[in-house]
Amino acid sequence: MQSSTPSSPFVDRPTRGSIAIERNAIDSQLVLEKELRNKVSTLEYKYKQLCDTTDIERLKHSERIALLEAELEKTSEALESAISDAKIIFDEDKKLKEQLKNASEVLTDANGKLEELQFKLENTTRKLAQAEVKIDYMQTNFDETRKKLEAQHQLALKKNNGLVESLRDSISEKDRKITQLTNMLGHKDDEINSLRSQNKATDEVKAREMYERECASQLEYIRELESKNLKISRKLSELQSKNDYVEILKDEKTTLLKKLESFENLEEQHGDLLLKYEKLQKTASLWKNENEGNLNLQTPNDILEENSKLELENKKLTKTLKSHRLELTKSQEDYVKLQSQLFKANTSISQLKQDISMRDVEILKLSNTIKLNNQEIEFMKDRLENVTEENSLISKHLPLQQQNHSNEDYNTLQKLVDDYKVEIDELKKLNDGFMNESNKRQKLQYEDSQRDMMKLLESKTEENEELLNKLNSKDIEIDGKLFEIRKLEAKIQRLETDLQTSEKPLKVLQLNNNPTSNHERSVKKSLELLMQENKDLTAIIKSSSFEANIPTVPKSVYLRLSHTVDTQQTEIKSLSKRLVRLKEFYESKSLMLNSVVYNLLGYKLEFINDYKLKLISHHDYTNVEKSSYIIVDVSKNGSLLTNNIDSGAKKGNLIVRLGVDENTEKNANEDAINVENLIKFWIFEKKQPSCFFSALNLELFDKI
Amino acid sequence: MSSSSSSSLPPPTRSKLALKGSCRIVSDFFEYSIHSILYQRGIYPPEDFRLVKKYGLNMLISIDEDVKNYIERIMKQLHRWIYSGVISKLVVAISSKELNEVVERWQFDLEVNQNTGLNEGDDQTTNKSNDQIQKEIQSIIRQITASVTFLPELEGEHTFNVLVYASPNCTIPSEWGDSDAKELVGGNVENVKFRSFSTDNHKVGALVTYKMLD
Repeated sequence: MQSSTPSSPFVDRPTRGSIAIERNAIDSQLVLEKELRNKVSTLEYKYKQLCDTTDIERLKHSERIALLEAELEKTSEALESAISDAKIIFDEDKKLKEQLKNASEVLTDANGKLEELQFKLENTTRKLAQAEVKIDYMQTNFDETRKKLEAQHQLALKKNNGLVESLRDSISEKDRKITQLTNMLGHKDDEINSLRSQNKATDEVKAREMYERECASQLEYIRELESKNLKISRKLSELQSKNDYVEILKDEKTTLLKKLESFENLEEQHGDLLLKYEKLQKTASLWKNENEGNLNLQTPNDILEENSKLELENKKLTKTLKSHRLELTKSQEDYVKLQSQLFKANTSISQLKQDISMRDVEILKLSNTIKLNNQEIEFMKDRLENVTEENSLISKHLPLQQQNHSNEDYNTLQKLVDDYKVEIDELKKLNDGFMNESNKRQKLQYEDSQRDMMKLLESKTEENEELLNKLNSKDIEIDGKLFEIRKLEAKIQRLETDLQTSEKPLKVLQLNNNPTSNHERSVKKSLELLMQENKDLTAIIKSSSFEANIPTVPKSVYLRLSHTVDTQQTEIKSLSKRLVRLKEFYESKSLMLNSVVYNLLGYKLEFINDYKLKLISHHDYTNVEKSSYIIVDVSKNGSLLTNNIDSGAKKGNLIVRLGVDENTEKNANEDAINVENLIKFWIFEKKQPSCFFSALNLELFDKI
Repeated sequence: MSSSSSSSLPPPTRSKLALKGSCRIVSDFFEYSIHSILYQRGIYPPEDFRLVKKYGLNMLISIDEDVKNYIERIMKQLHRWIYSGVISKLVVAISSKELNEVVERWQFDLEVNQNTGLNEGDDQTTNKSNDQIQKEIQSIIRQITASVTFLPELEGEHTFNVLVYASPNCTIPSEWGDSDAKELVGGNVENVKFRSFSTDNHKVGALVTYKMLD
């Protein structure tokens, strides 16, 4: 029985020698060689591993160095940036100081200007006050003079009136005197005439001359008085004109005072309007600003226009509502009228029914009377027969004349009775005809009236239904319109509220603890700390302790550093969080990749450590040992070094056993696939790891 | 217990329920939009995001605890404000850490449709289906995703802030405070308006403002 060698079937077997001893020696040498080779290879493997580990360590160290260098660079950059920031801050500080100086200068200038302006203002106010005082003084003077003038005017008026009255009195006295004198003159003339007539003496001429002189003097006096009177009247007219002028002035004054009051009111109104205008301008500017931000926002004019449109629409709708309401009331009135007509028709029907019943009663009465008449006739007939019998008996006993007479009477009576009978029959006939006719007529009338009434009723009910339908439709329309009106009212209210609220600016709110604010806060804090540090450091540099080489570190440096440490820690936290998330992400993705590889290539990949990969076959062999796997070393350039696999019984070899029973178990080694040969051939000789897996797969597939 | 408590409370009307649903839709949209912007603009690394299905799309939401807490706190209050109808805008301001200035501004305008909420009895809803709303939201999200193509690349580290434009009469919790509008300053500022979506009670529009590169 030939023993199977552990060598690969692809590798040539050793040649057979002639001598068994030599062969054994050679075999033993070969075994030794093999062992040595194995040892060398293990040592080489170990050496390579050590080299690899040193390389890895070196790489790790270099990575660490690179990281540290990067960190150093970062920190140096941060330091540089901090220094540059400090420089910038220092420069800014300088600039700000200069600006402050400039601003203070400007402020001082402005203060000087302000003082000048204030001085000017004070001067102007003083002047204004003086002017006001002067105006008051003038006003008081004016009032006083006006009062004086008024008093003088009143006095002059009084005087004038007195004078006028006295002059009038004097004129009246003079008139009286003149009349007396004229009377006296008349008397004197009479006396002169009488004297002339009596005595035509020479003294008359003298007396006349004297008298003429007196008259002349009297006339002169009268003329003087007249001139005086004229002067006084002129003065009076002048004073009256003055008085009129004063009154006109008074009126003017009152009108001016009124105007002044109205002017003050107007000034107040003007001030109010100016304030309103400013407010409106502000609101307009706010609207503009808001409009810049929001494109959809309406201007107040638009809103007002919309409001006016809505008002117009509302008015129209109210008009239509009114018209609908009028129509509704009309229709309601029509409905009421129809109802009243229906009521009337019902009452007329009931009246007609009553009439019919009355007629029936009358007919009954008439039929009864007819019956009574018939009975009377029969009775009368009987009586007549009796009378005829009696007459025949009497006629037998009476003379001829009397008989004739009685016969005539009898005949007349009989005729009368016959006439009466005929009349009764006629009446009967008439009554029957009348009865029939009346019945027919009544029936016809009743039917006609009933038909008419029914038709009327039907038409009225139809009309009523139509009107009710119309009413309902109108009600629905009204409801719709009312809803629209309500809508519009609500819209108007909303617009009004919008207008009111638009005057009030909208509040812009944010959560106090938000990412932006937090970032801003931290930046601000760091800036403040840096500024403080800068300040302290500059103070130390300037101070004597720096010159005396006393190492002092201000507290602000520590604070700034602690703040930077805090920020760095938060950053580290966030980075570590991100790293964890990335790891999770990577794990999920690697799992996904593994599952994809497992499904596609048939091997499950598991990393034992960073450089050793465990491959588990995907093939569902029932008889394959579940713990069978391949360990691949991918330490250097991805090469597979399976000959250095751990020497465990089942590690390194994927042993396939076909059948587990005792008979076949003995030959299990025959069916096992020697992976090492495959590895040697495909990986070491051909350098094709992918082919190795394909060959292995094929072997496995063939075996199973 | 529950029956007694439920009997004491007024029964929810359809309009109220619709309003609540609308508020939920709007606040959800805001939340996912913020996450999407943070991912698309690279404010946080991609490994900080997790894929979820929303609006029939693959959306990415942050798994970073700080970011999640921040957005959750915003959304909690925002939902209340949306329900009470006091907010009109939500802004996501992206600012550079180095320059300390706003470089991008995502603005979401919110309009409250007050016609539907006139009275509790009025159920005058337009009954927009959820599918329709979802389609509209999808188109906005797609536009946000596509906006990366025309928006300038954000270089360096950036941070973000969420602003809310509220009416002056609204109640403000202690953890909220006033802020400036975080407007973009300087020239070369561009606005791009996105599509909008609307529910029965709300209408949401989107707009991005950014600085053009020289």
